Amino acid sequence: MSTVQALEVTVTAPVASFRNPLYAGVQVGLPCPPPATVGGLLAAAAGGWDAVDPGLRFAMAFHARGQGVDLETYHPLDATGKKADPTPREREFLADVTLTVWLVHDPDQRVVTDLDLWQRRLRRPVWPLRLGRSQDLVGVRTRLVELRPGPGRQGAAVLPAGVTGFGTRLRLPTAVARDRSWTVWEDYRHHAAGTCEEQVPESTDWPEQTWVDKEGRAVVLLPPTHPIHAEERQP
Amino acid sequence: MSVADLDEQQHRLVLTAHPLQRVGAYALAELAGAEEPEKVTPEGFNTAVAKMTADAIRAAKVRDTKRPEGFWLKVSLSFFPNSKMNHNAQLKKSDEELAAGIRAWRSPPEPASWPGVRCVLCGREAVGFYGKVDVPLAESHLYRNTTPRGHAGLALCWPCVCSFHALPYGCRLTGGPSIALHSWDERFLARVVSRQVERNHQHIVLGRAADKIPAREVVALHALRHYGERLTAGVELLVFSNNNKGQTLEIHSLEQPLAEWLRKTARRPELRQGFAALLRAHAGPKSPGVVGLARNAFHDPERIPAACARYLADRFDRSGLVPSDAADLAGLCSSFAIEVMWMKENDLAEIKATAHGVALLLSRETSAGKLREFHSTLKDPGRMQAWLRTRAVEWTLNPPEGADRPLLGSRAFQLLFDTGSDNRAWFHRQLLFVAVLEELHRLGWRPADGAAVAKEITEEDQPLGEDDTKYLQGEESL
Repeated sequence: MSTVQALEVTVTAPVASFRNPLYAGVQVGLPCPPPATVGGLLAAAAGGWDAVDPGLRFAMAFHARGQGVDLETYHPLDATGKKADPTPREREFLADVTLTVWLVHDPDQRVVTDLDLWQRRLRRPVWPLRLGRSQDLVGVRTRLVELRPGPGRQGAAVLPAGVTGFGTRLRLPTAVARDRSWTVWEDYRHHAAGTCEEQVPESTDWPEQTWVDKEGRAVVLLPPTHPIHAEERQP
Repeated sequence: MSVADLDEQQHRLVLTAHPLQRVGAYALAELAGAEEPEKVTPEGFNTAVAKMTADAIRAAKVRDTKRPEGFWLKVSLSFFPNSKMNHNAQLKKSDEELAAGIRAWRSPPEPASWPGVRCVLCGREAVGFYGKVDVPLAESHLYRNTTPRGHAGLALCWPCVCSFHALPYGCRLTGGPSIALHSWDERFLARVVSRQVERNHQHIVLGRAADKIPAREVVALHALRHYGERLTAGVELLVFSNNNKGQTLEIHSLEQPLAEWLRKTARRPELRQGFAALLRAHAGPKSPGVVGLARNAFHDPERIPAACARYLADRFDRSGLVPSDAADLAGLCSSFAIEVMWMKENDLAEIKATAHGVALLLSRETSAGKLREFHSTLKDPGRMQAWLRTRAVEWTLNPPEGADRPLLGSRAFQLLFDTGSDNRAWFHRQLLFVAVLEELHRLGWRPADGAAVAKEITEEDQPLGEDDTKYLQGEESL
């Protein structure tokens, strides 16, 4: 079966934090980055959303080896213009995290991605790359890999909820309008321990292609994250 | 869009991505007498909102949260602090002024004042910007950190605002932090919220205090075990307070396989049989087993089989006899391994084969000492490895009658001792010990010194505690 090329991006960080945006008054975390966050990280590397193809899509997997709660200084922006006192707030974090992103080039499936361009962008990102904590930069490695069509092991993949019944079901922000007035939410599945041995099948019910890498990991594209999709879908 | 359509929209409930809005929408549907939020008619919506407003006015008129009928007023501080319902300045007004203020608070703003933006949750026309006075755990309207520029809070449509107003009806109310159960399994959520709304009726309408609960996790366990359908999604336990003294939110999640397993232990006869033993295994000196089980389920599920192993070992240590409920607990542990931990059946079979061999060796002993020695190796994987390796060599040199396989296969060794991140060796060793006891029970092994100890023990079966007995009796109707 024919193989396709992909850029595998491995992002590592000692500490990461992904706030659940539904609860503004408290800082609770999500077990994995929302696709919107990963899209934002790629856009930061490119220099902003204007430099990103609105049709860009990616597959992803995420694993954290630990979690905890610490205190962070919260700086309220006072609506009246007065100076507000900084206050400590609890904030959940994940430790020793590994995010794997696959950018796939498969013209037969109408997935066209300039892998060389993205490899250059990620080697020399325009803006610093972070995962939810401004004080922690991330490490980034890229390599070109081959994928082949077929079922793969779910492991720590973040998948559209329709393709698997395993792992925690999460509703995550996928695309956020540039003025933050509208968010596209989608359903996903993620097995936080990353040990899910289930095969992600090639389903006829699911319109997306399922690929598998040489390590047997499932690679399934997520919906597009460019803000234009939130702006266009705003009711 | 015509004015009529717009008006219709502002009376229709929509389920959004926000768990608390969803719980509130289901509660509002129950108040409106509809099966689900989407089926609430505009008339039903108005009726439900009127009920909530009347309840709020009745509670506010009590004016003192310390009075016997002041429970709902007290609770409202954890949902709608500084609202017209409970702000000090409001409570000093006459009954009529107080009621008018609450009615105004619970009425939709005039269309002329609508901000011309979309509801951030459902995308319909927003009727205003709302902060923590109306939406638990939203940012205070005094701050601008989390809202778009120019917005004074969350832009929300009227049905979404009313869903948040209905949230307390769908929560377990304690007087302190409230407890909401949420799931993406719509049928489960509908059932749980509907029951909660029924229960909350007297607390909210009459202001009577709610019964104390042994532990918040037990609320979730109880709901799971009373649910008759297969769960299609996990369950989240949200414990939250919107109080001015400090907003808090804890989210504890049960993944679908564990939630479904806990539900099934109430219903499948072969699992139900062991449930009383599972409660005994989780009972502490000061807390009932149901509390220990519920806490382990939400915070560290792998402790469930570990609690079983510890319980069986303790009982063996006390009596010198293999406990009679070892087989039931072993059955539960096996189903837990397969259905919750997704252990492969072949791997479980490998561990059981090793357990069979170990039990065969131990059953030749007339003293309980060797089993105690084996149990003590659970605390030290190196010692267990040495113990098994020594016996495996003896087994190979002098195989027991009928032995057709080695005592310790390479796969079993890997499962028990590989410290790689993908292997739950600790869990597998607990499982091995439980399986050894199960096998010894099956073989009817009664060590001579154990029998002597047993004579001194008047009652071998440890009785269930009072709270656990009541809990099980409450489930008899399932």
